[in-house]
Amino acid sequence: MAAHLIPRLLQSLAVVFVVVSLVFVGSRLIGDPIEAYQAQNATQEAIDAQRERLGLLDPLIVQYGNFLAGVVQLDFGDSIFTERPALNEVTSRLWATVQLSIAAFVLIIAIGVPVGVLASLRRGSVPDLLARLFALVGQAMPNFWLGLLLIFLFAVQLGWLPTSGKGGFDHLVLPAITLAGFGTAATMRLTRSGLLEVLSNDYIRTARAKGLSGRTVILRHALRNALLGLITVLGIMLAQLLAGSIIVEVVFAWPGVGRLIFRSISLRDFPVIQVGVLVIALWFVVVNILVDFSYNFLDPRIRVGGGT
Amino acid sequence: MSAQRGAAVEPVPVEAQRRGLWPRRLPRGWPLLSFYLAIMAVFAFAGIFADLIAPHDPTDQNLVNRLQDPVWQAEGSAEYLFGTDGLGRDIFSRLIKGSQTSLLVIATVIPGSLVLGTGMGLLAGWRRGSFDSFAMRLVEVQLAFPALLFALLIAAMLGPSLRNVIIILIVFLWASYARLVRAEVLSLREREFVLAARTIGASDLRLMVRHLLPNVVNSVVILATLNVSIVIIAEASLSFLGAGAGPDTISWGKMVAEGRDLLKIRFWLTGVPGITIMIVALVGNLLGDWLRDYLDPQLRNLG
Repeated sequence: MAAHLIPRLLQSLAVVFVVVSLVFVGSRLIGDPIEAYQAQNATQEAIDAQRERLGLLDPLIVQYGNFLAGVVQLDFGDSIFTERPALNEVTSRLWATVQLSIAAFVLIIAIGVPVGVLASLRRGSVPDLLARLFALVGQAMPNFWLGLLLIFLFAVQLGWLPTSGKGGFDHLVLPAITLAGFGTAATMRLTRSGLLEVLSNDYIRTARAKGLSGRTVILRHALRNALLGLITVLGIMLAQLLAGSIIVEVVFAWPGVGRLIFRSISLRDFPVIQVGVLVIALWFVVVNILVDFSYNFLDPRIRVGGGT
Repeated sequence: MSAQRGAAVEPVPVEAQRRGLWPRRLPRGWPLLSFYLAIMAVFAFAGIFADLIAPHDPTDQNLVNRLQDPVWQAEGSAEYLFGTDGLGRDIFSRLIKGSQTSLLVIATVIPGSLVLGTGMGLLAGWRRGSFDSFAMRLVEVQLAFPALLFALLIAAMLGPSLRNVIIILIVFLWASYARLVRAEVLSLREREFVLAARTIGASDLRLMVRHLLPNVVNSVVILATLNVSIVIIAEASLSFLGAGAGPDTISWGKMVAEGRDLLKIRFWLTGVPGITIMIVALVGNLLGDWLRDYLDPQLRNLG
């Protein structure tokens, strides 16, 4: 197991390193942050002093070295905007984003998978048609528009739920549905097609011929195999949710990392952008590793390292 | 006679069973197909001739006519079919002009990513070796990267412009073509017709273009059609966030963002462009599904 784990982790570290470096280069290209903050009448000396303090006068390679040294020590510098440590700015909002992502992920699994299974078992029936229609529309709906539509229907017209911001559970409902929309539609569709494909296999016919009950055939034989393909897709979705939450957080004024990154980019707040992107990249990498290992766990054929 | 009987009957390969792009008869389900195509034709027509058919100048601000009601409201008139926005600009004309933006992005991103990805996939699958592993590493990195985040960063670096959106989308979409084409080439290269072509001395280029490419064209066309909705939604999302179309470009995504402030009292300002995006994306997906069923009947009903 460890023999497989170590190269995999090294590879992931390399990906994170590349992402971090790209972000460093990228955020330095955005432009001079000082221009965005200095008061109109600031003297040139004051501006230079500020640049000196932030290390913006050093050669780029020195800035990069300092940056990497900081990353290793988890010191990313202070936010240029709020002057609090950038790491704290991000971590203090991380929970809100994780909350939103988990809620959306639960919705995706709790709705997408069962409805997909049902649709494939009752192929051609009214529920199947409805599920396919939902999947089609859901995949063609940009999530910023879905969010605004939900706000209009459930917050403005019906007044059932708050329009935006964070508070009790009721604040979570609309953003979570919006974030889950596309993923639920895609999961439904993939579960349905995956299960249909598995059900056409010979061993399913064999299982039926042996006289096993329909429930056993589906739960023990078909679903297990269909799940395998689904795990990868769900993993990709979980990884995408954190990045996808940028739009949803902006639409619903949800105080999470996505909205922070969005705001920091327009404010050219380098340190915060760097930490934010690093967090999302790490999330991507961790989820990908987890998917890899769940694969090994679920499918003995590709179980690595420890086999006899 | 007996010699003929002795000859082994080659089973018709699966690829040969797939139908070509140009049918001799009307395909199954053609009424629906023509409906989808008609919607796409309207979209393309509006995009190409936007300046000729827009009833008003889409950028013309007129504060006297601001916030006119659309035609379905009591005070609306056919003069402004979908009403006017807060600056008195005609929504219908902006919608038409916006289709030009979407069309431009589709017409550049789809061929761009298709050519780049198919080329890389052909080369990687045919040559194998170090180029293959390099290309596949690149694909992996690409797919492991949050595209939206990257696009936001680029837009912040270089300023919002349609050109940047197009480049970003090509950079993010080529990987899917490369992976698809490479996988198909890997199985095709072991087949007899490839061996035959090699034996009579076909060059690498000729093999790839004349023998391998025609065999992957169907899959590539299906993927390209399904990508239309991805491109439309991506452009609209970036423009919605202010990281897409530049300040002088009209885009459906930007129209949704502009209507947001008046969401409570004038929903159609966001609703009309929003529904338009949805319809075009939906029809794009339906066309892609239809094409897949038609060109590759083995996959029918699995979608």
